[in-house]
Order: sequence, then C-alpha cells, then structure tokens
Amino acid sequence: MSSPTALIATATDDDPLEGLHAVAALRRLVEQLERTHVARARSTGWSWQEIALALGVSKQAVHRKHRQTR
Amino acid sequence: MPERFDRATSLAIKAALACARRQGADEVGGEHLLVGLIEVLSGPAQSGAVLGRSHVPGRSAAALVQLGIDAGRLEDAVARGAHDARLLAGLGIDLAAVRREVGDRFAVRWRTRRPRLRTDVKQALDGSRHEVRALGTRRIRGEHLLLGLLGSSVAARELLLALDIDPMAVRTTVLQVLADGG
Repeated sequence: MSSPTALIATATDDDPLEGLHAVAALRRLVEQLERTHVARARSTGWSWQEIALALGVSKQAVHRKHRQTR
Repeated sequence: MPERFDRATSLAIKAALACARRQGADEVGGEHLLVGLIEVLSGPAQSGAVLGRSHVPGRSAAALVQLGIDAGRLEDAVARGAHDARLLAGLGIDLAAVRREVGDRFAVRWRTRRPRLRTDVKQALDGSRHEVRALGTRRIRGEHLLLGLLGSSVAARELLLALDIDPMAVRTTVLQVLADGG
C-alpha cells in the first residue's frame, strides 16, 4: 500500500473487502436517493401512505424514517 | 489512567459537525471528520469561525500542506461525493451521472439539530486511543485522531485517494511529526 494506484490494485476480484466497501457506498447512495425523492414527494403534497406504497414499505416505517425531512 | 482528548480533537469534532451541516448530511462521517481535522491541524487561516482566535496551528500543519492536503479542496470533494465515487464505479454506477439526474435536490437539508456520528467516526475515536497507547502517551491529540481515522474510515481514505493523496503517506508523515516531538 505504497501509492494510491497500488492500494487500488490490491483489491482483486476475490477480495471481499472492496466488494463490502462498495456495498456500504451503495447503501449511502440509496439512502440519499430515498431522502431526495421522499422530500420531493412531500413538498408536492404526497401523503405518507402514497410514498409508502411507492417504496413498498409500511406507512409507519416511512414516516418514522423521514418525518425529519423537510 | 484513561487517555484524554485534547482541545484540538474536540475542535475537530465541532468542525466536522459544521461541515456535515453545510453538506446537508444527517450523519457525521469520516469524510466530514477528515475535513474538520485538517481545518484544525492546518491552523486558523482556513478555519473560519469555528475555532476562534486563540487557536494556533498544530505542528503537523507544514507537513500536511506539503502533502497537498487542503480543507477547502477536501470539502469540495465531499460535496461531489468523491469519497464514494470510486467504489460505486466498481459496481458500474457513475455517481456524477446520478447526481446530474437528480439535480439540486440531491442534498436534502435536515431539520435534526445535531447529526449523528456515523460508525466510522466512533471507530476513529476508539482507534485514536489505540494509537496513543501504542506510542506510549496518554494525551490524544488531533494527529492521533487523524491516525485513528485513516485506520478506521474507508470514506476518509477514499476521499484522500480521490485527490491523489496516499493515505499511507499521510500516516507515515503524521507519525514522523509525532516522533520529532511535534
């Protein structure tokens, strides 16, 4: 791990580490996209019920998670 | 006797919180703590209102400048999502394209007063304790927290890599500064 390129090169296909880190990054992206679209829906008058239905989760779950969203 | 965090470390946490708020994040992650730490360790020139006039730059300031680490550039990179971009590219996801698609709404502002500390930040705090123990001291300084952060936070390392800065070189340099009595 002597240079950035070397660091990247250490991650081979059968190294789970890079894959796990990518999953974590993907999870952050999903969360951010969800916040973004929930906020957009709320600001255009969608009910929690409608948002929950679109996301495929319960109304309680979506409200608990996103009530802080403007 | 337990290790104690010094003033620079608590200032860095405050600066990290401020950075997370500016970015509209609901969590303080390793990428924000890296920005906060570099602000504090680089000194008052870049630090703004968070640190106040009494703050003097850490002795690692010159070394960090020499490595090309700059709090402003780091924060710009955080705003672009650079800490996750390479990992997502590995999955075939072009983060820049996603951000373009979603547009201005991507950074949703949160009402929460105080963003939570993400796990990698908590692990960095623990890691800094291990660092000072290994070095045989008890006072946890900003430099130790930086070492802990580099060890525990993928986001912090990825952020440096995105700016073509080698995290291992940063670690080596910080250890050298500490060894020189800095």
